[in-house]
Amino acid sequence: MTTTLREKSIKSPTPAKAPSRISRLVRGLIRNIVWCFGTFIVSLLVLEVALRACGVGGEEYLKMDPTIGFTHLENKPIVVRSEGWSYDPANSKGIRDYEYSVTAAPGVHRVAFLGDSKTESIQVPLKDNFPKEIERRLNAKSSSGGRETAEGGSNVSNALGGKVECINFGMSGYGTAQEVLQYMRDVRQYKPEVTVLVYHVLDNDENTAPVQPETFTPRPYFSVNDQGVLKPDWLFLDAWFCSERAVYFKACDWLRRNSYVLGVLAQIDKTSKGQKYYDLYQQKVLLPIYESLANLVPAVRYKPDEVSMAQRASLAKEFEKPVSNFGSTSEEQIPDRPPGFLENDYNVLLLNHRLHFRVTAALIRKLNQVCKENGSKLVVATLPAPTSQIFYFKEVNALQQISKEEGFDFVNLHEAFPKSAGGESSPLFVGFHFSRLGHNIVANELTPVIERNLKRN
Amino acid sequence: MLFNSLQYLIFLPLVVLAYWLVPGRLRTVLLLAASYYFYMSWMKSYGLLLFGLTAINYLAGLAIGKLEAAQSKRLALIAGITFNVGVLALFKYTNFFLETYNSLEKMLSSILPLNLVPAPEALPIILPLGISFFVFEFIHYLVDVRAGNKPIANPLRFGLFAAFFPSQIAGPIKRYEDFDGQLEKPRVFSRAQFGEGINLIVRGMFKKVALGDNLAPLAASGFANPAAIGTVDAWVAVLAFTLQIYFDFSGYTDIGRGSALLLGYKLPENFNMPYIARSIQEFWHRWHMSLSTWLRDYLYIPLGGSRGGKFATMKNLFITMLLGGLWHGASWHFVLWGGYQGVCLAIHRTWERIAEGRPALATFGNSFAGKATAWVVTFLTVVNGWVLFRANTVAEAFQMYQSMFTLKAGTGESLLELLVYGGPLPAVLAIYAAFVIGDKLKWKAKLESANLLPSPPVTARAVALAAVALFIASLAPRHAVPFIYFQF
Repeated sequence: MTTTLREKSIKSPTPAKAPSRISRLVRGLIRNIVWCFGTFIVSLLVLEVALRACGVGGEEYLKMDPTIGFTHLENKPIVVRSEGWSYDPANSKGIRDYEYSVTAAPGVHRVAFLGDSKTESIQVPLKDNFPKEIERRLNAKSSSGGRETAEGGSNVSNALGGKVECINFGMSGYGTAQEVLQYMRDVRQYKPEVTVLVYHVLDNDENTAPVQPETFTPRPYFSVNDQGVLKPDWLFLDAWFCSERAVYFKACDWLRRNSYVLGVLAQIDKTSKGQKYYDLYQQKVLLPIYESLANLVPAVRYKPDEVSMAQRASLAKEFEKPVSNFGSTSEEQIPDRPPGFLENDYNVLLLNHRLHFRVTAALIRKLNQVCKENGSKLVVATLPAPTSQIFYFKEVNALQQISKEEGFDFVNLHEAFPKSAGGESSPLFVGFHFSRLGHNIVANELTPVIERNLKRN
Repeated sequence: MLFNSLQYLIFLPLVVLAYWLVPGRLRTVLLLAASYYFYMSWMKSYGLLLFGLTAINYLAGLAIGKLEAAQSKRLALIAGITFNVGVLALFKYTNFFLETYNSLEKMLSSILPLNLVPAPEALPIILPLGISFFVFEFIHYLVDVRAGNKPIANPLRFGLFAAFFPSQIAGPIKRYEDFDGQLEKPRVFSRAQFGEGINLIVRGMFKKVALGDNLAPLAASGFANPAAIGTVDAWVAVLAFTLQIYFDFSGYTDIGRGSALLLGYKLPENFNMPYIARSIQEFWHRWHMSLSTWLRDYLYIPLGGSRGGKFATMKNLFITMLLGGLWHGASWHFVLWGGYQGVCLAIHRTWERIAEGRPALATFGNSFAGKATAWVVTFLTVVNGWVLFRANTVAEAFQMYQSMFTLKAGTGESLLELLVYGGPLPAVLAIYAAFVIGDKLKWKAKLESANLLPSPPVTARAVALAAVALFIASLAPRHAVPFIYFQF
């Protein structure tokens, strides 16, 4: 009986070779790697969705700006949970406010607010900050007699004969120099009828190049010569753009904009390190920048993109003209030496203060000049501060004098706040920033001044 | 050391690893050392107190076990209980007694011509963590040994019963026969048990960090100034605390039970969805079960339980809960809370008796409307009780009641708005609810039986666990919130 090859193979199959130990190990390893990778991807996606649903992980909301230093990431929710709460996003222009077209609708009155974190107000929901409260109040006045109505919808025509839009350009950490640059580059195109500069206790020290590395922040600084010509200086900012921090920002730009997981990791890193986080930042980022600048290393290798270069050049050109009334007595305020201050310490502080305030005063005069050219009226409001800030109150007095010389309105908000306020226990503050009640007090003071400055249609 | 601290997240894996690596005979010693390290990481000197209490109760247990005469056993038991209660009173209630005496002295001196000597204002006594819990465990041990159970002869095992870190600070209150029975048998590593332990820890962390700690600011804000808040906010604050205390305490218990499971030990359950209870009695069968059963076995029954007629039963219930309230904290609002629970239980008993002879009531009670009414009434009773529990003083508790039950607007931030928009709470509560519903509907078991649930390797499970841990960490408030029951 003959059998075919196929039959043979069925009848007497060669025994299958058992997989070797190594091949089992390799298979196990591959299985593990595939599972881990798959789980990692799925976990990451689920985590992103869950974090977005819960509204956490939006703590990474700053981006570097080669002209102004830093701004908000566009359309990124700004989540605040540690000092008050809010989670409103910045708009498509990186302003922590609702969406506004650059060109206002006919008949609309616009008010722009410039300031630092107290104006930015991320500690309260967007609808509760003082610019929005002022907008509500102005819109709530009926055209008949300017009385307050219960419902102040933004479409209600008011005593001014049109809707009012208050746009909040406030940005944490800004000094006057950045606010002036911000106005010239971004704000003026919105054609605000009134521009409110909200001046705060630390602003004076943030406009001139720092003497010590720990006070350095990546931003443009200004100097002023005896003729009152302001000169912007981007050297410190460019040096920062060469740092390892900038490399991280650039490398993670997409993730910083889009990933909430990265936001959580960054926050955990910051929280777990505590003070060490800031020490490391100073040691690894600020100190090398400072040393390279002190040694006049020409190797600040950073070259901004062409748009930023053009912006810088155009802005610098606008500063070539001296500011008006520079060198008047307003800048020469000398505070009395308070008891408890050693004379030498006081003299150093005084010298720094005077140097800084020369620049600050010139910047505010410049802002007023640019506002006028843009058809906008400037209002300067000074915020409340602890009474120990003696130099600040001299600045406030000097600003009041400047306002008289330059012809803009000045509001000292310190007077409106109870003297005990200013700490965490006050209902007017959450941490160091205004609570809703605090915002209401600011709105009480600013609303009539702004209304007075708006044009009647 | 807090269960929700980085310190514990390092401590626990190290202990678990060492525990399973060392030979079986060394495990008790290792756990004992780890438990003392855990306790002393808070305050070194109180390690000595724990040691002293353990040593005395160990010797007392042996003595009671060895004594032949019933009278001698009884005397030894009384001495043991007096010692334990005395230590608890010294550390926990001295300042409460002094304050109460001084208040009374002031009040009496103002109305009567008495010349009472005022007591010192307050003594600088720091309450040892977990003392209320381990004193109850010692009393249970001595009573059971006197009742004829075998005392623990091995001092190391007794020491571990007293100091076992997963249940050391806030229970569950263990029963020694059960725990020592587990110590007797060699522990065998079980992958399923280990997985269950991890699950419990993750669930506990989620309850504590994501839910309890995010509810805490709402409750704290409302109870900080109960007179100034509006009606809606008063209810928001009280309901927030109602949920906070459950998530905080049951979260702690889950972490403790999970930690014990990683070491191969089972701790008793402490919570069984207490807020679905349809009577106050059922609530106490579901809430802090290890305390409820302790109070029943070592206070209510010795007082006479329900053996002495209607009035005696109510009296016993009232005394048991009043003392239970005092056990929670050395303050009059806790005593009042305990009294309130006692009265509610007594009313429930009376209602049961009334309903017994009335079939119409029984029919209504079994209908949907009857069940819903029973749930609403029970839940509101519990919620109102928490006001007394959470308020800083009795006066503030009544201010809160006033804000809850008189229609008024508040003056500060809106807590309702803060609840809805101010953080991750709505989404986190929804996630938790989805898991609870999933548990109830046994989704996992159904998926497993349909072979739809994959069985990933341990490494992949670790990756998923890391993601869950990151999620929980991201929900934590900036400042760690201590467990509520640590204060007791």
